[in-house]
Amino acid sequence: MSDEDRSRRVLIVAPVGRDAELMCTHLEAAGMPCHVCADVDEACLELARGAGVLIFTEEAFTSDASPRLAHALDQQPAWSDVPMIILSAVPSTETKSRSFGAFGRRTNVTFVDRPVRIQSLVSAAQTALRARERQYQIRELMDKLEDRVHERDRFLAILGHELRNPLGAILLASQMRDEDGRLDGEHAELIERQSRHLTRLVNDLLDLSRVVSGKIVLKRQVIDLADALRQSFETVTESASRQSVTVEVRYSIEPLPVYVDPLRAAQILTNVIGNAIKYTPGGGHVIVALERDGDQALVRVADDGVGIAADRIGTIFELFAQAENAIGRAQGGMGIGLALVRNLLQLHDGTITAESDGLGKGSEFVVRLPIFDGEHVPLAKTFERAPAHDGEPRRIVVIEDNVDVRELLRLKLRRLGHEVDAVADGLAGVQAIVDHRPDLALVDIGLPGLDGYEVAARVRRSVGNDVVLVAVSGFGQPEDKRKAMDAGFDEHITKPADVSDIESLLSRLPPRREGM
Amino acid sequence: MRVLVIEPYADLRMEIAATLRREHYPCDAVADVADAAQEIGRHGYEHIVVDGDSMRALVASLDPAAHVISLRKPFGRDELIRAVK
Repeated sequence: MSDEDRSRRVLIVAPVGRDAELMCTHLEAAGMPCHVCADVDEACLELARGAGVLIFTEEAFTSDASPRLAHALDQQPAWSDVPMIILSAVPSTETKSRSFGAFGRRTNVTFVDRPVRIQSLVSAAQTALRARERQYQIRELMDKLEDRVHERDRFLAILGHELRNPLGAILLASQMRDEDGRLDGEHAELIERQSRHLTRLVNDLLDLSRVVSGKIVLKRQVIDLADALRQSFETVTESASRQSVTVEVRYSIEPLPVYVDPLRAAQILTNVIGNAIKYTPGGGHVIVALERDGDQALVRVADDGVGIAADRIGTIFELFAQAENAIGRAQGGMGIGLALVRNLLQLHDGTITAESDGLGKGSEFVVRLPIFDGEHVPLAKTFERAPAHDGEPRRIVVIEDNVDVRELLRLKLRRLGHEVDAVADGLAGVQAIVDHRPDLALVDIGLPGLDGYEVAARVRRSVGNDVVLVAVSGFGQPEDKRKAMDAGFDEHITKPADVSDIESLLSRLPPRREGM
Repeated sequence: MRVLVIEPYADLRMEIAATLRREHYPCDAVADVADAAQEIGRHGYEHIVVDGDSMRALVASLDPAAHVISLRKPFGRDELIRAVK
């Protein structure tokens, strides 16, 4: 008998006459498997192995049996409240109160008066089994919940561990200032590198969460996949150069139109190529080939790096897969990137596979996306570059309540030659914009008192569209961007704001007004 | 007073070593225990800074004379220097 069958059987304790045998016959005829126990002790043992309902005749309740049954019921797990049916000839007094007194607080007890009509017994047993079935459903939900809690705990443990290394490096590097408080290039670069690493980690986590919960919004258009690949190649060039890894890209001679969100397509390829670079030692090679295979566009990313062990290749796209191998930990990989890639590709009807001949023998990842086969439409020009920054000094207002962020922005923008007014709250910000009429205002959304949305609304009412308003927010979901646009902002930047993002914005501004 | 740093995370390894050298501690830094075993064969170390408690016993067996240090990350310069003093 399987565990499942045992958990649905009826345990019968009826020590006098043929009661047990008769009950068993009728209940089994009604589809309820039964097990007859000689006494309460046996019933306690069988209960531990699994039971749907217990049926006792009152003779079973000898004075020494009751405490043992009470003890057995106490040993049941928290979700279990096993139903009991007691057949009693005593209509209302002694037996019932005694039994309820002993078990009523622990379990479901139904009294059935003797003499028993078969139909009543069958009906009572069926009702009890249905109640038990609901308990099993609760047990399954509790098991699932427990799995989720373990998964969350594991995630937090890995995240905590992965944050400690970059934070440790940043902390020590930041303490390498000289007597004048200056930091040399090497340590400053390390801080920037590790900060970017942490930013990527947070962005990947947020993206993955949005993909898994179905909240991601794709802005799909038909593009040549080569455009996305060029964009990705530019992004990974610096890390490849730093690691002394050569990346060779072989483009297809024909355009490969795909119907994708261009930014997500570039994100997918950047992740896969970046992953190959990360796991390739200095002096190694990564070859990226774009080609057509029937009705699919393929991007092959092959490297001569550390490779993948045979027992890991099946789980390489699962969350945290890299966090559980030594190389992944050394490289600061939580194993989010490839899980994100697979999920993003699924949204685009694409796939990714990995092959490796084993550790130390390199690996090859193949991304496949369906070739767009709709009517001819002009390929969208993606990743169009803004004209280069003309170096023209601008007048900028920064509204940011975090003193460190505010001062850093002020310092960096001044170093670029701009005139900067930085204030800490919304009211002062509106006043600064009205007074100084800047070319650009960077406005934090989560300001105390007057929030960023209200700042934008008031500025638009006061000075119209004379100033470019940029929302700077920790929330980067499409709906957050839409909300900012609705409030009157022209652009939206997700924190942490990078100076290159701001420079890119500045380069797109119209020429400076006279009188600055 | 020579110090060996065993730290797999490259940037952190670099900063721990740079911090110790700035404080005039002769220092070697490696990524794993296999490399550490080679370094221990070449030099005698007064202190060995390791990544996590799990590595302690293994490293202690490689160089029983050394003081094995495992600090909770992230740690700052003062904590590191106090530990090797």
